[in-house]
Amino acid sequence: MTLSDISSDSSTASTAIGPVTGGRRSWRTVRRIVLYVVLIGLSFLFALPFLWQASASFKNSAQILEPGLNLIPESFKLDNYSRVFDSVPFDSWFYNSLFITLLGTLGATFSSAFCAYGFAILRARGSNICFALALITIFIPFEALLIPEYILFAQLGWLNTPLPLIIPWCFGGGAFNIFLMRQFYKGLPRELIDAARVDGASEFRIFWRIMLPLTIPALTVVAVFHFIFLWNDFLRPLIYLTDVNETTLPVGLSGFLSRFSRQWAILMAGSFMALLPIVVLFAVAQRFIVKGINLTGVRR
Amino acid sequence: MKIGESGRLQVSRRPRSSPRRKRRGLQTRREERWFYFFIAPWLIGFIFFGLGPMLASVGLAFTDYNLSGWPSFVGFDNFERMVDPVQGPLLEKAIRNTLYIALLVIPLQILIGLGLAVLLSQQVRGMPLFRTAFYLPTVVSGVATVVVWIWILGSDGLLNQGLELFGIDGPVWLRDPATVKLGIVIIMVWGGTGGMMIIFLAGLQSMPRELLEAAAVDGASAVRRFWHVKLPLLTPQLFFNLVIGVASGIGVFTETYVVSSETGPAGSGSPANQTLTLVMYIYRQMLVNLQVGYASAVAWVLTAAIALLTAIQFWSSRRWVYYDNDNR
Amino acid sequence: MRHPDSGKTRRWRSRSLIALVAIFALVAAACGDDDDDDEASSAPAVTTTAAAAAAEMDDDDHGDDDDHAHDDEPDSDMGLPTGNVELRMAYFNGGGQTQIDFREEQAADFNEMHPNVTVRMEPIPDWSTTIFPQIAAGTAADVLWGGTDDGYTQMVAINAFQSLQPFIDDEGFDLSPWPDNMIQHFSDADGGSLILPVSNLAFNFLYYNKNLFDAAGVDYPDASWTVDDLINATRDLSIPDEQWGLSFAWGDLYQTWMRMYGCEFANDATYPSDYTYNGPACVEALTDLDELARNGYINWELGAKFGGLAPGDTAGETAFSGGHTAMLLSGTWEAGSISENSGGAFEFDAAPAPLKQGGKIQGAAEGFGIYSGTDHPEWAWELVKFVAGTEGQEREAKLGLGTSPIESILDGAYCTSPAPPANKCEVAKIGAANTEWEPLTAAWGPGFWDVITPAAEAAFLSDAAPNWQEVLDEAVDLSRMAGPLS
Repeated sequence: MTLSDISSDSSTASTAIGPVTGGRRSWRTVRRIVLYVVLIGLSFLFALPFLWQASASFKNSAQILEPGLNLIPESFKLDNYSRVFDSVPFDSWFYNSLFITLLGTLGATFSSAFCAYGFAILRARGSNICFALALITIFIPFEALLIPEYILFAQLGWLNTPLPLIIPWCFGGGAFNIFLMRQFYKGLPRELIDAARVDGASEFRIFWRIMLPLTIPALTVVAVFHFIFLWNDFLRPLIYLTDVNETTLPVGLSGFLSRFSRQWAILMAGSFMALLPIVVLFAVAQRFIVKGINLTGVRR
Repeated sequence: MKIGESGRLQVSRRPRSSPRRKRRGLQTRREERWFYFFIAPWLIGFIFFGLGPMLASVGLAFTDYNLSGWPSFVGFDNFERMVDPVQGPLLEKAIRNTLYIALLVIPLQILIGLGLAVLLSQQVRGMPLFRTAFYLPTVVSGVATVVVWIWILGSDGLLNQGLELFGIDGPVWLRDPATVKLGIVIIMVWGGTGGMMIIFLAGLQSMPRELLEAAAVDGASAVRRFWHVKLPLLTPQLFFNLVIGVASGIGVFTETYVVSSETGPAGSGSPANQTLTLVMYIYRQMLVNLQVGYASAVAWVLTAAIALLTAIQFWSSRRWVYYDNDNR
Repeated sequence: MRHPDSGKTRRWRSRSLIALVAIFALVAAACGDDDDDDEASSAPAVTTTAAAAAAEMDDDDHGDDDDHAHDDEPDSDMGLPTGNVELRMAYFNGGGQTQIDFREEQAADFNEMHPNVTVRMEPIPDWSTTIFPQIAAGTAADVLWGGTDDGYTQMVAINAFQSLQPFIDDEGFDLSPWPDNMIQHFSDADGGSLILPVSNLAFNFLYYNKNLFDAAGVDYPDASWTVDDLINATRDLSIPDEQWGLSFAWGDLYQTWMRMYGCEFANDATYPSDYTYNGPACVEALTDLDELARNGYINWELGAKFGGLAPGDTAGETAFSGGHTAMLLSGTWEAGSISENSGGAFEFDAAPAPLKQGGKIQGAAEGFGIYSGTDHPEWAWELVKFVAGTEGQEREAKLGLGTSPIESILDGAYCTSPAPPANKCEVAKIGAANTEWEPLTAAWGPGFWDVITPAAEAAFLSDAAPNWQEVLDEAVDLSRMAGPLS
């Protein structure tokens, strides 16, 4: 049986491991029930903020600010939603967010997977210093670079274009993602690479044909993380996109909660619509994160 | 690697490169070329987008600059200011607040993230739904989150209503100086474990199944299998989460900024400087007071401190992180 | 995992590593230098001097008779440079989508009047974070918003604005409709105007919930109220853990309260040389306020520990709109939010906040000025006049946005609009006449805000009532160290 068969939710999976006797079977049933109770309880707890936001999007401002577990709205009227579309260019913000996030995620995922292969597998003079330099970029507080970076992109003439939000990610995808991919490469069995090298495969071929397919869970993690990061990013769109119609969802929606005007109800509807794509994305992507990997096939 | 007696993972430290060693020079040069081929995108991006701003910022740390006119060189004045009678106590407060939050958040995030990942790697029906639910707090973000947090951590919030069941009268978490940092820890643990959980989950799924099966056939108990097989195989991910956890724990900003903006002016550290973390302190000096040089100096001292902590972790990782595929 | 051959080769490798670092550093230095140069050259061309601007204008004035492009609009484009211009205007967006729509409309109208000028409006939700990098890069908009609560002091300190005085003198632009104290406040040290004020956000609107007053049998507040009346009513209208007498809009409104008592924050309102916020009026104000907070009469973030927050931990407008608090101390802008968030559940009006002898009203004024790095100062001045001049303010007043500092405009538009509160006109006028703003010294931020915020918060939140004289004395000492004014 291949490993990907095991991975998807199949109740037969447990039988693959060891013989099961009668007494152990009933113990297993108890265990299973406990597991379900724990899972259902915890997932309700974890889903609460999301469920609450969903229900708040149907309420009026006063109801939103009431404390307590009132998750069921009085009615499911779509007033708040229609007010979002009437009052702001929601579709334009949505499109901008999607455009920037998709391209940025694509660039970051592939380029970080590519660069991480060098950092993880290959030995070279200077590799440690390069990796240290990469890591340092994670540690610098954002304010320190805010102004110099802004000046750099201003000089390049990239203000009010999505370029500063996309292009840098296409070059290496950020140290966080490189580091993450490196850890996954390093955990893979060494024999795979040694064998491939003995066979005369080029490093690029090893990367493309062996490492990449084997790290689909890690690639998915990088893509999901980066998508959510870009989708929710506030600071960069705020300073690089100053045209109100060409901005992204987080910056645009912040207008509903400004100093002199707080429109809770519309904010909740807008935020919930902004939230849905990443929830759907994750629900789809998690299948790839947990997909088992069939090493035997690669290893011959 | 293989599973030895008693289901313990055994790492064969074979002389990895013995056949290659003879052709050392040729091999090394070939490998080096490939190395620079692979890291080229990063290197180009770093030189074009990263290096300039970094060096500019390092340079500014030795100047007095408020955005108007020329930065004037002041030597180490900015570094001396960090310990003067005005900034010294404030900076000390920021360090204390940061350490308090980081020391609680980092272990909690890692342990809970690991626990949840193990729970979610079980094989039961409906798991995709559970996984999505567990990840939701990490996804919820943006301006609306403030309301969500008040709903949970407010005086009549969910947490206090829960505590009431046990007869505990909860505080006003985010407004009382005595509890606001704990409130921020709760926010960070709630919202930050999802990421760690996913990385662990992906690590658990990337493990070679034969090893796990071999351990099971050997009759090792589930607990034993976890400690001696799964956990060592998970150390690369654990190490990543530790390094990133330390850096982001010490670099905490967003949560404290959001919470303090609720009561006081932006970046104020409200209430009573209890949410004044190091990065918040830098924000205030840089973008509220426009002391760009001084703020840059503090920022780079902080960067150096995190880099040092990370270096220590890398050094220690040789003893406890298991890489099958090491290029050292 | 140690490599078997790590002994000798490690040393060899580390030497070559050092060499590589050196090369890297060189490359880095080269790149860095370029970047530094860029940065230097892009630093704001500080103050296109007013004299130069004025000279330019004089020239244009003499030669403008024949290059007049639009005869149907007499004298509108007189003396202004022709050719297509894209003019940008940045403003802090505190008013949400209503404000954005209004400004877009203004941009379109300006373009209709001057077809060669396209105006791009840039609403900025987070002012400091956005504007300071822009100023550093020299890319800020031609017309800049300036507001006393959001980095205005720092913007003046770094010469972000160029003086309006040459334009004012040249045209004989009439500043008399604006209150004198306001024009003075928005001037540079030489007395030249930097900002044409468009609104004054005075914190003297005491909104009150008529239904709660009726239920408690308390008379509605009016202009004759004293501070003691306010304190008594606050007590009488409170019901422990259920209803609060008074709400503050924000946590730092304790400063508004201090001003009401006649507390002077510094020895000069605009360019002070010393901190004086430990005077007797200041101490009295905070002692009174502290007592109200500790008894849970006030709905206010800093009274949280003593039962000072409504359900959902809401303070200010939200608590007032929810009917949890009888009075709200804030400014004119709350009326719209109250109507929206209360859904008409109760009737409300506003009275002027009472002042003690020598009391002042805390204000946040805002207006528009010309960015010192602009390429189009003449057009920028036209836009400033269009937006912040009397006509622009009239339009804004009709929308119920902001509070014009000009009395005739209040009379013409704001006072006659049917929007609540009914008494808004009187309150706004009292506000305009008695407001005091933040000083314009760069050290004010680190000296005052960085010191008083934590000191006051710690004292308000401490378990036992503090000695406010001691608290303020200590804070003033620290202020003098943290931000010396002289």
